[in-house]
Amino acid sequence: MKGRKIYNRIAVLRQEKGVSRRQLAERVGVNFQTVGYLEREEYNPSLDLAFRISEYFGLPVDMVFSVEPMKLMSQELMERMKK
Amino acid sequence: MEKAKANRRTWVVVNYLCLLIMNVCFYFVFERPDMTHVVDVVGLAALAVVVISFFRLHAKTGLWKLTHAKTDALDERQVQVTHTALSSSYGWFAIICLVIMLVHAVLYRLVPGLNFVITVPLVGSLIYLAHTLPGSMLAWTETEVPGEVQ
Repeated sequence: MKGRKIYNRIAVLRQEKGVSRRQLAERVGVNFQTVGYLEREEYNPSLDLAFRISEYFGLPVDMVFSVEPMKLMSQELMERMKK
Repeated sequence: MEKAKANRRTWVVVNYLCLLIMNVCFYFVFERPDMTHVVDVVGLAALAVVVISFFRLHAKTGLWKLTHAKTDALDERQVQVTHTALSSSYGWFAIICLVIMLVHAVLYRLVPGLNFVITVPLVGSLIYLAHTLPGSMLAWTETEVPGEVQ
Protein backbone atom coordinates (compact mmCIF):
# COMPACT_ATOMS: atom_id res chain seq x y z
CA MET A 1 0.00 0.00 0.00
CA LYS A 2 1.34 3.37 -0.97
CA GLY A 3 0.47 6.09 1.52
CA ARG A 4 0.05 9.80 1.01
CA LYS A 5 3.09 11.97 0.60
CA ILE A 6 4.06 13.71 3.84
CA TYR A 7 5.57 17.16 3.44
CA ASN A 8 7.88 18.62 6.08
CA ARG A 9 10.02 21.58 7.13
CA ILE A 10 12.96 19.59 8.45
CA ALA A 11 15.54 21.14 6.08
CA VAL A 12 14.52 24.73 6.96
CA LEU A 13 14.31 24.05 10.69
CA ARG A 14 17.62 22.21 10.71
CA GLN A 15 19.38 25.05 8.92
CA GLU A 16 17.81 27.62 11.25
CA LYS A 17 19.05 25.64 14.22
CA GLY A 18 22.48 25.28 12.60
CA VAL A 19 22.79 21.55 12.98
CA SER A 20 24.09 19.06 10.45
CA ARG A 21 22.18 16.06 9.17
CA ARG A 22 24.44 13.82 11.22
CA GLN A 23 23.77 15.77 14.42
CA LEU A 24 20.02 15.70 13.88
CA ALA A 25 20.17 12.01 13.00
CA GLU A 26 22.07 11.23 16.20
CA ARG A 27 19.57 13.17 18.30
CA VAL A 28 16.51 11.45 16.86
CA GLY A 29 18.16 8.01 16.60
CA VAL A 30 18.26 7.36 12.86
CA ASN A 31 20.91 7.04 10.16
CA PHE A 32 21.99 10.41 8.74
CA GLN A 33 20.89 9.34 5.27
CA THR A 34 17.38 8.86 6.59
CA VAL A 35 17.38 12.59 7.43
CA GLY A 36 18.30 13.24 3.78
CA TYR A 37 15.42 11.07 2.60
CA LEU A 38 13.06 12.88 4.97
CA GLU A 39 14.24 16.32 3.80
CA ARG A 40 13.75 15.36 0.16
CA GLU A 41 10.31 14.00 1.13
CA GLU A 42 11.20 10.62 -0.31
CA TYR A 43 10.32 8.84 2.91
CA ASN A 44 7.31 9.12 5.22
CA PRO A 45 8.38 8.82 8.85
CA SER A 46 6.61 6.71 11.44
CA LEU A 47 4.48 8.57 13.97
CA ASP A 48 7.13 7.93 16.62
CA LEU A 49 9.91 9.42 14.47
CA ALA A 50 7.71 12.39 13.51
CA PHE A 51 7.16 13.11 17.23
CA ARG A 52 10.86 12.73 18.02
CA ILE A 53 11.79 15.21 15.27
CA SER A 54 9.10 17.68 16.34
CA GLU A 55 10.21 17.41 19.97
CA TYR A 56 13.79 18.09 18.92
CA PHE A 57 12.73 21.32 17.21
CA GLY A 58 10.35 22.17 20.06
CA LEU A 59 7.39 22.52 17.75
CA PRO A 60 4.01 20.81 17.49
CA VAL A 61 4.05 17.94 15.02
CA ASP A 62 1.68 19.70 12.61
CA MET A 63 4.14 22.60 12.29
CA VAL A 64 6.83 20.23 11.07
CA PHE A 65 4.81 17.70 9.05
CA SER A 66 1.79 18.09 6.81
CA VAL A 67 -0.12 16.18 4.18
CA GLU A 68 -0.31 19.36 2.12
CA PRO A 69 2.63 21.28 0.67
CA MET A 70 4.18 23.44 3.38
CA LYS A 71 3.58 27.18 3.37
CA LEU A 72 6.10 29.68 4.67
CA MET A 73 6.34 29.43 8.45
CA SER A 74 5.48 33.14 8.87
CA GLN A 75 2.43 32.78 6.64
CA GLU A 76 1.20 29.80 8.62
CA LEU A 77 1.71 31.56 11.96
CA MET A 78 -0.24 34.57 10.69
CA GLU A 79 -3.11 32.33 9.60
CA ARG A 80 -3.13 30.59 12.99
CA MET A 81 -3.19 33.93 14.80
CA LYS A 82 -6.18 35.04 12.74
CA LYS A 83 -8.16 31.92 13.71
CA MET B 1 23.14 11.80 -6.75
CA GLU B 2 21.67 10.61 -10.06
CA LYS B 3 25.21 10.09 -11.38
CA ALA B 4 26.04 7.92 -8.39
CA LYS B 5 22.89 5.88 -8.98
CA ALA B 6 23.72 5.44 -12.67
CA ASN B 7 27.23 4.37 -11.67
CA ARG B 8 25.84 1.80 -9.26
CA ARG B 9 23.48 0.46 -11.92
CA THR B 10 26.41 0.04 -14.32
CA TRP B 11 28.30 -1.96 -11.67
CA VAL B 12 25.26 -4.19 -11.11
CA VAL B 13 25.04 -4.95 -14.84
CA VAL B 14 28.81 -5.54 -15.11
CA ASN B 15 28.79 -7.78 -12.01
CA TYR B 16 25.99 -10.09 -13.13
CA LEU B 17 27.01 -10.09 -16.79
CA CYS B 18 30.51 -11.25 -15.83
CA LEU B 19 29.00 -13.84 -13.49
CA LEU B 20 27.05 -15.24 -16.43
CA ILE B 21 30.11 -15.20 -18.73
CA MET B 22 32.17 -16.89 -16.02
CA ASN B 23 29.60 -19.68 -15.64
CA VAL B 24 29.39 -20.33 -19.37
CA CYS B 25 33.20 -20.42 -19.67
CA PHE B 26 33.68 -22.65 -16.63
CA TYR B 27 31.01 -25.02 -17.89
CA PHE B 28 33.10 -25.60 -21.01
CA VAL B 29 36.33 -25.73 -19.00
CA PHE B 30 34.97 -28.54 -16.81
CA GLU B 31 32.84 -30.41 -19.34
CA ARG B 32 34.86 -29.95 -22.54
CA PRO B 33 38.55 -30.16 -21.56
CA ASP B 34 39.49 -30.40 -25.25
CA MET B 35 38.44 -26.79 -25.84
CA THR B 36 40.89 -23.96 -26.36
CA HIS B 37 42.53 -22.34 -23.32
CA VAL B 38 41.07 -19.00 -24.37
CA VAL B 39 37.91 -20.10 -22.55
CA ASP B 40 39.92 -20.62 -19.32
CA VAL B 41 41.40 -17.14 -19.63
CA VAL B 42 38.04 -15.50 -20.37
CA GLY B 43 36.46 -17.36 -17.44
CA LEU B 44 39.20 -16.25 -15.05
CA ALA B 45 39.04 -12.67 -16.37
CA ALA B 46 35.26 -12.66 -15.82
CA LEU B 47 35.80 -14.00 -12.28
CA ALA B 48 38.29 -11.21 -11.61
CA VAL B 49 35.76 -8.61 -12.81
CA VAL B 50 33.08 -10.20 -10.59
CA VAL B 51 35.38 -9.89 -7.56
CA ILE B 52 36.37 -6.30 -8.38
CA SER B 53 32.79 -5.20 -9.05
CA PHE B 54 31.64 -6.94 -5.85
CA PHE B 55 34.08 -4.88 -3.78
CA ARG B 56 33.16 -1.72 -5.66
CA LEU B 57 29.41 -2.26 -5.46
CA HIS B 58 28.76 -4.15 -2.23
CA ALA B 59 31.75 -3.83 0.10
CA LYS B 60 32.80 -0.23 -0.54
CA THR B 61 29.26 1.20 -0.52
CA GLY B 62 28.24 -0.63 2.67
CA LEU B 63 25.38 -2.42 0.90
CA TRP B 64 26.67 -5.80 2.06
CA LYS B 65 26.62 -4.63 5.69
CA LEU B 66 23.19 -3.09 5.26
CA THR B 67 21.57 -6.22 3.85
CA HIS B 68 23.32 -8.52 6.33
CA ALA B 69 22.80 -6.38 9.44
CA LYS B 70 20.54 -7.37 12.33
CA THR B 71 17.25 -5.49 12.42
CA ASP B 72 18.17 -3.90 15.77
CA ALA B 73 21.13 -2.17 14.15
CA LEU B 74 18.99 -0.47 11.52
CA ASP B 75 16.63 2.48 11.66
CA GLU B 76 13.01 2.32 10.50
CA ARG B 77 13.70 3.39 6.88
CA GLN B 78 16.59 0.95 6.56
CA VAL B 79 14.42 -1.86 7.94
CA GLN B 80 11.73 -0.95 5.41
CA VAL B 81 14.03 -0.83 2.37
CA THR B 82 16.00 -3.95 3.29
CA HIS B 83 12.78 -5.86 3.93
CA THR B 84 11.44 -4.85 0.50
CA ALA B 85 14.73 -5.73 -1.19
CA LEU B 86 14.96 -9.09 0.61
CA SER B 87 11.41 -10.12 -0.21
CA SER B 88 11.71 -9.14 -3.91
CA SER B 89 15.08 -10.84 -4.22
CA TYR B 90 13.65 -14.08 -2.83
CA GLY B 91 11.12 -14.00 -5.66
CA TRP B 92 13.75 -13.20 -8.30
CA PHE B 93 16.10 -15.85 -6.94
CA ALA B 94 13.37 -18.49 -7.21
CA ILE B 95 12.65 -17.41 -10.81
CA ILE B 96 16.36 -17.52 -11.73
CA CYS B 97 16.72 -21.05 -10.25
CA LEU B 98 13.63 -22.25 -12.11
CA VAL B 99 14.85 -20.73 -15.39
CA ILE B 100 18.24 -22.46 -14.99
CA MET B 101 16.49 -25.79 -14.38
CA LEU B 102 14.15 -25.22 -17.33
CA VAL B 103 17.01 -24.30 -19.68
CA HIS B 104 18.91 -27.40 -18.56
CA ALA B 105 15.88 -29.61 -19.09
CA VAL B 106 15.06 -28.16 -22.53
CA LEU B 107 18.64 -28.16 -23.84
CA TYR B 108 19.23 -31.68 -22.50
CA ARG B 109 16.46 -32.87 -24.83
CA LEU B 110 17.30 -30.60 -27.78
CA VAL B 111 21.08 -31.00 -27.95
CA PRO B 112 22.13 -34.65 -28.08
CA GLY B 113 25.37 -35.44 -26.29
CA LEU B 114 25.27 -32.35 -24.15
CA ASN B 115 25.88 -33.36 -20.56
CA PHE B 116 24.33 -30.90 -18.18
CA VAL B 117 25.60 -31.03 -14.66
CA ILE B 118 25.34 -28.71 -11.71
CA THR B 119 28.92 -27.48 -11.62
CA VAL B 120 30.72 -26.07 -8.56
CA PRO B 121 30.94 -22.57 -10.15
CA LEU B 122 27.17 -22.66 -10.77
CA VAL B 123 26.42 -23.55 -7.15
CA GLY B 124 28.91 -20.92 -5.99
CA SER B 125 27.28 -18.36 -8.27
CA LEU B 126 23.83 -19.17 -6.91
CA ILE B 127 25.07 -18.71 -3.34
CA TYR B 128 26.71 -15.44 -4.40
CA LEU B 129 23.50 -14.37 -6.12
CA ALA B 130 21.36 -15.16 -3.07
CA HIS B 131 23.61 -12.97 -0.93
CA THR B 132 24.08 -10.07 -3.33
CA LEU B 133 20.67 -9.78 -4.97
CA PRO B 134 19.10 -7.68 -2.15
CA GLY B 135 22.10 -5.32 -2.17
CA SER B 136 21.97 -5.04 -5.95
CA MET B 137 18.30 -4.17 -5.76
CA LEU B 138 19.07 -1.40 -3.29
CA ALA B 139 21.94 -0.19 -5.49
CA TRP B 140 19.49 -0.07 -8.40
CA THR B 141 16.64 1.74 -6.65
CA GLU B 142 18.00 3.83 -3.77
CA THR B 143 18.98 7.49 -4.13
CA GLU B 144 21.69 7.17 -1.47
CA VAL B 145 23.52 4.14 -0.14
CA PRO B 146 25.48 3.99 3.15
CA GLY B 147 28.95 4.45 1.63
CA GLU B 148 28.06 7.54 -0.36
CA VAL B 149 28.60 10.43 2.01
CA GLN B 150 26.67 13.52 0.89
